[in-house]
Amino acid sequence: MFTIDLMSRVPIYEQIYFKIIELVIKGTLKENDQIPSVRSLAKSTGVNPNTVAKAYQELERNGVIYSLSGRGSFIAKIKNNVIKEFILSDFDVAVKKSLSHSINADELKQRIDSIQLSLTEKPDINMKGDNKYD
Amino acid sequence: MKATESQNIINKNPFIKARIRNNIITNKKLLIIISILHAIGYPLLVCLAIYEDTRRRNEYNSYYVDTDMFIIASVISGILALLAGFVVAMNTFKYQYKKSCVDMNLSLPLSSSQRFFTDYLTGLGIYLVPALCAWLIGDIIGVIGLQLDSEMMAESFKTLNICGVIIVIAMILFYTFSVFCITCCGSIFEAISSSVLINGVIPLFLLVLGYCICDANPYGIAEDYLMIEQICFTSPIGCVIFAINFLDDNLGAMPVFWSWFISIIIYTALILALSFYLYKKRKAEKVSKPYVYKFLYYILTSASLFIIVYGLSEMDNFFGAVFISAIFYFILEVITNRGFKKFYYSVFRFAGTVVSIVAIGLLSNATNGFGIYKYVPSPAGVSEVYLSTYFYGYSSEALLRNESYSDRNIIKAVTQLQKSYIEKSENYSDYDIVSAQNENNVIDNTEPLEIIYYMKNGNVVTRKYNVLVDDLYEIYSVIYDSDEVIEKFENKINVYKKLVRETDISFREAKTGHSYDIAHMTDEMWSEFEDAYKNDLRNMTSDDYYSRQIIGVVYINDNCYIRDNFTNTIAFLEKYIPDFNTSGTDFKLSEFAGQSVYLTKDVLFRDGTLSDIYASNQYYGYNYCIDRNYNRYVGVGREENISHLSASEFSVGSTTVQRDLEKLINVALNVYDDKEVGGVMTIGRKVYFIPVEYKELVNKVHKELFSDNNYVDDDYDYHYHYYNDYEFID
Amino acid sequence: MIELKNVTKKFDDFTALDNVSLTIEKGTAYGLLGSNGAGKSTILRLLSGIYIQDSGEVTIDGQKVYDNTDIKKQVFFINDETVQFSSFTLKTLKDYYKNFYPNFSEKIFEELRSKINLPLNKKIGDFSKGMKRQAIVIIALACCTEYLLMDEAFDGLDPTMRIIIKQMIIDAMIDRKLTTIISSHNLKEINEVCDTACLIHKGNVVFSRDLDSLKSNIHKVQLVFPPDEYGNPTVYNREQLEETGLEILHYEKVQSVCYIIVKGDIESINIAFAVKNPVVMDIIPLTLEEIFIYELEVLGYESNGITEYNK
Repeated sequence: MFTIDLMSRVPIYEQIYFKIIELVIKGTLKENDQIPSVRSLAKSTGVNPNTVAKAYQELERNGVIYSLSGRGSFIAKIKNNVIKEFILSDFDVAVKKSLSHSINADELKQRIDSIQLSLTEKPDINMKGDNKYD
Repeated sequence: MKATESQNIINKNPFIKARIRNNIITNKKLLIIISILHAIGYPLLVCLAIYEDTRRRNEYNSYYVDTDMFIIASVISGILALLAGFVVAMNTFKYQYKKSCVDMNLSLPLSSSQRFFTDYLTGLGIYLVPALCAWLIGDIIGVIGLQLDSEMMAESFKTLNICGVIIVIAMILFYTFSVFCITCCGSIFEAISSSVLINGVIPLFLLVLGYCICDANPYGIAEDYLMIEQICFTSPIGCVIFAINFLDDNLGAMPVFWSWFISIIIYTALILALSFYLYKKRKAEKVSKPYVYKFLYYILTSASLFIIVYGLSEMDNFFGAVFISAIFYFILEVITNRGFKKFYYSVFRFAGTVVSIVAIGLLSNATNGFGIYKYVPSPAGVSEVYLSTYFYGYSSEALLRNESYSDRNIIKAVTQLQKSYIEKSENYSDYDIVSAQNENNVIDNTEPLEIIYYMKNGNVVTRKYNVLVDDLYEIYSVIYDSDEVIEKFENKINVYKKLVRETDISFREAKTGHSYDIAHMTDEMWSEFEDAYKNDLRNMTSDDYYSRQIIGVVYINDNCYIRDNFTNTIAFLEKYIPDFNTSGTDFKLSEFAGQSVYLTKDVLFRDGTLSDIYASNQYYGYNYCIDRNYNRYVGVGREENISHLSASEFSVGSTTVQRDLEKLINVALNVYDDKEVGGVMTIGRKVYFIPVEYKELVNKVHKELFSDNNYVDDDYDYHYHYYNDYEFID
Repeated sequence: MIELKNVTKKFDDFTALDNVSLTIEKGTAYGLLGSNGAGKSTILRLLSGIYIQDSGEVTIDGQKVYDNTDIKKQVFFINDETVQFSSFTLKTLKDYYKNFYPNFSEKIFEELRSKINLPLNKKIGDFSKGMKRQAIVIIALACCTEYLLMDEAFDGLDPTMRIIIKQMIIDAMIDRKLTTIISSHNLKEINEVCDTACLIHKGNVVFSRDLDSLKSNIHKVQLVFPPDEYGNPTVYNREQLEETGLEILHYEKVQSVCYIIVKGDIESINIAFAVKNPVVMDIIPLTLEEIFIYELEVLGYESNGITEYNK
């Protein structure tokens, strides 16, 4: 399903955790889709099953997945704010960094607006069916 | 029941079975080799014996193969198979000295006790089972193949089987020694060297300890016997010695065997227990160190030093011995310490050991051999006592010569004698009476006496003393007082009756030396004679021994004394011997005309042995001995005391002298038993002893009649007076 | 659960373990890290009942290990030797071990054996080094013990075999809560296989922790501080940085940049250094190898300048 970089400095369970969420956001994994069992994921990636289990536990705790005993683990109905938080985490980091390097809040707000503008001007190749010109 | 118990343990614990099987597989090659060696050993030997026997029966026909080489090969093969015990132990306990085997063996879920006993017993089985099979097969072949008559077969089989038992026990001890040494050692070289050394060091140490004690001149104790008992049960070599001695010497056989057996079983069990204890305590990481338990090394080296120092000191070179032992010691130290580290410790230890050894020697000297000589067994603990006054025995009395007695009074008398002599030795500065070894310097009137106590618990205590003849007589009188002497007579006569002989009974008269024969005795006559003699013995008291005269001997392959109070025997003799006459008439000098007479004065009346005679073959006028075997005699005193009166000179001299001579002739006895003799007279072919009360007379006659006529015949060889018959010198 | 309580083990004068206390939970894959002669093999041998400790307690599931057949039945030790089984064939070795370990599974044994094609009736002494290792590993796994101890056991295994073994171990961890203890110098391996690890140096435990939390508690930080009133770059020395209360394992200064290895999670580091108003603060987690090296460096163990900070 995905590969884990065993050499990476990022802790493995974090990689698993974030990879699953990424797949959910991308839409590859939808609600009630089954994710691989701890065993099969561990075996296929060569990762310690406890580590996999830890990631799954964290996912379950945060409501990303749910487990049915004897059947496996499945994607849960994601609360919007979780995804939101995930997406916005990078944003928070960027804001903090900018602010600490004396880029003030107003400049940031201006930048957000200009980005939004540039995105709406370009034709959205992904937005099928909403295109007035189709 | 024990078999099923052990079966249960094995079945409940499959890993024991697995381990047993594994051990056998590990030893597979060895097992095959041992089996082959054993097959070429004893069974082949038996086949060769059958072959030789058949060959002998068929009177050396042409198909004759020299079996010598095969016998040698067979014996060597058997010995190698017996020595394989050490190799089996090394192979089974490999994880004790080989580092690469440690992890696997020790991480297995097997408790150390289970591991030890399984390994020990499997190895022992591999070692013993082929031997036992070979023994059994050999015996079967022997029974079938050898055509021995039943008595011989029973004898040899008993001997062989006892040998077999001793060998098996020796094997177990040998194997246990090896296991013990391997447990104490951590590397292969030390394991091998200790296992080999320990077999030699223990018996040698005991032997040299024996020498050390004997060097201190302990009264009555002789080297050859001192440590022999201890040596026999403490090492496999000792077992071999035991087997040789035991089979050689059948006196007191079975209790001695059981005593040895119990001692060695306990000893082996102790070593096994110690090995087990050390095995359990052993730490895995110690493998590859030379010694895990260094005490074994210290014991072996100290004992070796002791052996070298005392063994070589026998040759009067103490410092040479110390020097050699130093070389030996320091080589060992360098090897064991794998280098020269802590060398000064080695020096200290060496010095300390030598000092202790010297101290032991000094202590031994100071206490005359640690006071062992003082030991007198309590009569209650003695089963039998054996008395011997060497070879032909002071008393040539058949019933007293080299016999064992179990009568309480006799035993008590012997212990009391021993006690009194030990006391004497402590008070006496005269070493002659004390020393049992210096036979050449024994003073007059003592006889060497060997006492062997066979204790009820199987121990054997041997002592040799030079005792005054008077004390010996006391013992003999007690012996005659007892009824055991009757048993001795029975034994003797039973043996005699089985021999091939010309006449049945031969009676030699003391006074005349004349022999009377009774031939062709019937069974009734035999019983009559035996009953008569037995009754006489029964009636005899200790006083009789001293006071009664010996009137003659009855020869039953040995001389049985007839004393003047043996009324029953005398009656028998009178009945069956026509001209039997105890009183005897007096001789007249004239009767001896034509015969030559030798008169010797100052005769040392002591037992000699043929070897003494051969030794004094080259006599130079010193002490002679007289042999109490009346058929021959050897030596007759000092040269100048030998006087020869030729027939023609009989008439020489005054009538007083002639009367004296006649008296001497009349009192001379052909059979005489006393501690001293007045002189010896030979008339014609017979030897007569002049009783001691006539000593003065002998000297007087000798002086008057013979000294002037004394001459030495240069052609006549005085050197060996070893006659079968005389020359008639006219 | 494996517990070592105040265990000391000496070999003559050399102290291999000095008052060591460790707890290893069931179902973990536990890595033993350490320099050579640190005491890793000693621990494994204490746990397999080969050695006995000089003081302290060595217990598995509450029971003493040494000379305890019942506990030893649940422990399988694979050491780094290859000589000891030379005279056995695979079959005889399997039959031998089968009797000692009650949970032995022929099925697993056969499964593994056929996967890697090891011959049953050839003497193990004739195998290649890798095959020898494989042989003992498959037997170990077939014994289905609760605890598997491996001393440098992955040496000599080819990558395929490694994967197979790992998968078997994973299965066992899930199926029967197998606890594995692996001693290795290969940190990559430990990193992959283990979830918990301890670092031993000179007979003492430096740390014993869950690998993930270990990694999240030590970071590389690159710091540049704002210039002072004269325009000169401000550089703090080690002691000054330590004033922030964080433990600094390594400190390097290149011109105006401080490269430090510091203990703590990202949050606390951020907070701690924020006080000093750094211009640049890059916080990067470390690889296990780096953690190993820096931890030992503090203890004075020379690693020959392998500390490539800027990897």
